[in-house]
Amino acid sequence: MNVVVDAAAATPPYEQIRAQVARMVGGGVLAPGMRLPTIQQLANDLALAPGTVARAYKELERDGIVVSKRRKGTSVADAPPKVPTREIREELDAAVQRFALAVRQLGADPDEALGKVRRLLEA
Amino acid sequence: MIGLALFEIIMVVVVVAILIAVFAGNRPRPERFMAVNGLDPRPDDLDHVRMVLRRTWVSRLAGGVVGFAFGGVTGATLGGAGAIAGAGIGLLAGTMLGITIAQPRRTPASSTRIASLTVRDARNYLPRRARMATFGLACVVAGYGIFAIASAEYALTRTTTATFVLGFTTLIALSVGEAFKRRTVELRRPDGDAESVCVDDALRASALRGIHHATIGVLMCGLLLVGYGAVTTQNVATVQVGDRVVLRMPSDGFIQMEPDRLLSLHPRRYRVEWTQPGGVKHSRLIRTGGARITLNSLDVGPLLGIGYWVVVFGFFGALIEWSRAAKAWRRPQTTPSAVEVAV
Repeated sequence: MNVVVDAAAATPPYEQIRAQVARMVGGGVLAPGMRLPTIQQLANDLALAPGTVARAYKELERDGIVVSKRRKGTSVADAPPKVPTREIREELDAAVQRFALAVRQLGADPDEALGKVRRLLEA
Repeated sequence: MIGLALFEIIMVVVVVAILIAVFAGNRPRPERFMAVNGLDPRPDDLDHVRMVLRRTWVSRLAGGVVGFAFGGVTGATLGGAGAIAGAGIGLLAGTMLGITIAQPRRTPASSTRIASLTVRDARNYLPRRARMATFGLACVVAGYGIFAIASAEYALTRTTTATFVLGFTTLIALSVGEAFKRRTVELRRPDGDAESVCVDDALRASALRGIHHATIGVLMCGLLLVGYGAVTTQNVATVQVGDRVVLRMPSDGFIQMEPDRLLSLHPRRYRVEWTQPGGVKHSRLIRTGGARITLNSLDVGPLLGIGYWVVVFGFFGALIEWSRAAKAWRRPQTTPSAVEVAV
């Protein structure tokens, strides 16, 4: 499972990480107890300062989504708060609308675009 | 006598052969690296592998040579064994550092960056039971050293204390090695496709294997030192008058004995002088009463016998581990999960 950060976006990188991890945990994509990468690994992979990732993890810990233990690292909490189903559906609808709009504006073949999406999801 | 000479000749031949093999026979070849790791030799990947392996090779050798010179000169203050162990520690510590700093740091090509949430763990890149071997050896160094000190015949001299301290200092390699491995594992992944991630993973595994063998090599030098410490503290020089031992001294110094009055035809008093390796002198006058006086050495302590073998094992162990660190690039990833985790 991947995290994407746009360094040029208006939203601060730590918030982008926090929101994506929270969404994945809330949706059950990241299972309870699953270990997350070390701060240094994620910071290196995203080319961010370790403090930025540390802040994202700290906020996730404050929200009860992840737990950090010395020498054991950070992992998903055993009983993390679930994201309400309605909220997930709304977010999914918005993402689909953005995707459909981009496909139309580019004049792309819908079947080809959907095929690409399927391949990405199955990868 | 012939057997001993043959043994010495074989030892020298083995050491020279390992040195030649390590220096001349381990120039990394990217094609072979790709083949042993079952990777597709695409031109871009091959160029990247060539660059990383070459950097690692140069940096490893440079670190080793600098460490060898520095460690050898520093260790020489403890005598011959100190010089060998010091050079070995320097060589292997330089190798560890050289491999670590040679790994490339990547900068992202665009403002959008993607990172996997899969944990990269050093254990997935190392040979099986690598951790157990490292910690086991560290325990042997510490345990044997402590037991050797506890069963020493004399209070430790300055030289033997320094020998044991240097031996125990090699245990630092344990945490330094772990830090170097962690740093290598946490370095940035390439932005390319799954195949280039696999290539990067194999390079990472090879670097980690090199660091692991160098770490074990440093601990082997520690074993050599505590073994040497055990031998020197459990073998004593004695002065015997007739059958009676009248004086015992630590054997790791310069000992000389001469009549108190040099011109006397039947000397009844002898002066024994013992100079510590640090230069401190001790002197004692011994009355013989006309009996025969001799200078001998006496083996005491339960660890002396295995101490010699520990020294030999530590020396050859360090040499072999150095050689294995140099050959790390041509060993395949032993844990397939490392590649699976990468994709």
